[in-house]
Amino acid sequence: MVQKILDYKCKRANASGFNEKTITGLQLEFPKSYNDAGTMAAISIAIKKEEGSPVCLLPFCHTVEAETLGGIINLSDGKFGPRAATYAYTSVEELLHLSDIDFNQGRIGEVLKACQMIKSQGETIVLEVSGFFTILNSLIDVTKIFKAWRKNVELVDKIFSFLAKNLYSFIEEAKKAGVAMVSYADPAGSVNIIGPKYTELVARNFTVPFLKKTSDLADDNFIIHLCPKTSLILLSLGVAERKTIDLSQRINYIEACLKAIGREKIIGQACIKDTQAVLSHGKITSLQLV
Amino acid sequence: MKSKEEILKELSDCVVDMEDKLVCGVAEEYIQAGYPALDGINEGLVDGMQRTAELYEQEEYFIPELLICSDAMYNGLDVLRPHLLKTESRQEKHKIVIGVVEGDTHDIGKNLVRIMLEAAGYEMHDLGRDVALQSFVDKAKEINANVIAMSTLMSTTMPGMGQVIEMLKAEGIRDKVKVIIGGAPISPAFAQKIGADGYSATAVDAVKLVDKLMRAESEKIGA
Repeated sequence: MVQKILDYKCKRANASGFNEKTITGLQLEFPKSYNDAGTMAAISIAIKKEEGSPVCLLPFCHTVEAETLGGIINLSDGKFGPRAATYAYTSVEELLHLSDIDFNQGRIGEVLKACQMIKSQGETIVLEVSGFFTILNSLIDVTKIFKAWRKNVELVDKIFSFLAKNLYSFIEEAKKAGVAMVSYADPAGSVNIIGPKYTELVARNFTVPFLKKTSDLADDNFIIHLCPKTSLILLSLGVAERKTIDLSQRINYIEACLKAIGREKIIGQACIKDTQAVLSHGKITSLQLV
Repeated sequence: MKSKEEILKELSDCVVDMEDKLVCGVAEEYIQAGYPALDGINEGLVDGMQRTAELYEQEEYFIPELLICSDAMYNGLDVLRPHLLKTESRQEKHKIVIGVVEGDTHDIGKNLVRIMLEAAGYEMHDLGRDVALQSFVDKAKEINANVIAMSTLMSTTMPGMGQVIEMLKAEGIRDKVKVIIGGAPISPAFAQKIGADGYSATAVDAVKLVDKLMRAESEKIGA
């Protein structure tokens, strides 16, 4: 019997691109705003100031990882944000031949450089990392993944293991670049999209082992944040448990996350993009993987 | 030799059981036995897709299962369609233009709606994803569409739906085409606000919605 897996209703994940005010106010140029380290760093710092956020967020889209893996991305005019122009791969087998990511190349290299630049200005950086389905969704028609799963489980296992390995390396590089918090999100892998069977399969076989390994990177300067959609899946399945940390003061959610650095390995009860969220009770929840 | 009903049941089961390869052989067997292709489609493959939709409504099946079932249906259709009588294949159907609005590439929901409407007998014209707004209007004019169906998963691209409606008004064809919308951030209130004719939360409900709109339209014409 499959457990009832709860879905966190999120509107923030459904937004992409910059708003008109930001585009005109910061005189953004495209595609430079998405692929040049210096420009990205300047925009991120400006947005932080404009929103009164305690952190700088990068990157500005969910296509960086996919592009590095060969995804064909339309960097657009900014209003709608970067998105897959077309599927780069037509068969699941093609994904088996992907090479490990070179973090010195392309847009992913620029994002890491931007992190270093922001850090050198004394700012705190949160790097958003896309999950398995969000990456695959920009590479291939995911129906093909589901079909392959029914007929060739080993093939899909190899692809997910490859992605997990490369995502881990990305997070390692992010830590080296001075990122204080990596926020992992996989909105395309929501339970209301892929259903409970595949949600459980991915969570147990890939997300949990990946997070167990990745959370070992957490230390006095680094922590893993989960999109609440992922948190709720793990909690619903009983593969993670909640632990409450009482900060004894009304506090901004992101500030509370930063206070958990050095104390916890994984947190994630609200959206990291919601820079104005406040924990009025002063309590933040961490996740302990079972 | 198997009876017609037996093979129809096998065709339907192939769709429900996601047998996207086996279905071709069953469809061949059906044709070789001399049974009419149209019945094979409607009482076999489409019946299977409707049973699949019921399983989806009961939360037995989810999107991945529906998509794979639809592959089986389409594979079966590829075998049966060439055997339709000319009069059968020329039957006038309501035409629907469907697509994901510009700025968004999430097309799983749109694909499901297209599949369900196709299984329900509508002629689908799929523009794909990240579709320029003017393309909805141009295609609707070109094929004399009865319905435009738009979806988006992103709040930032929602306004495009309202712009398409305004474009239809500007072209003077708003009263000739019904507009339905859907997608995660869409609500009935938003549909009403932009002047759409309907909203549906699921692919199964989209069929019910279009059926209702087309029925009302037929009654209006009849009156």
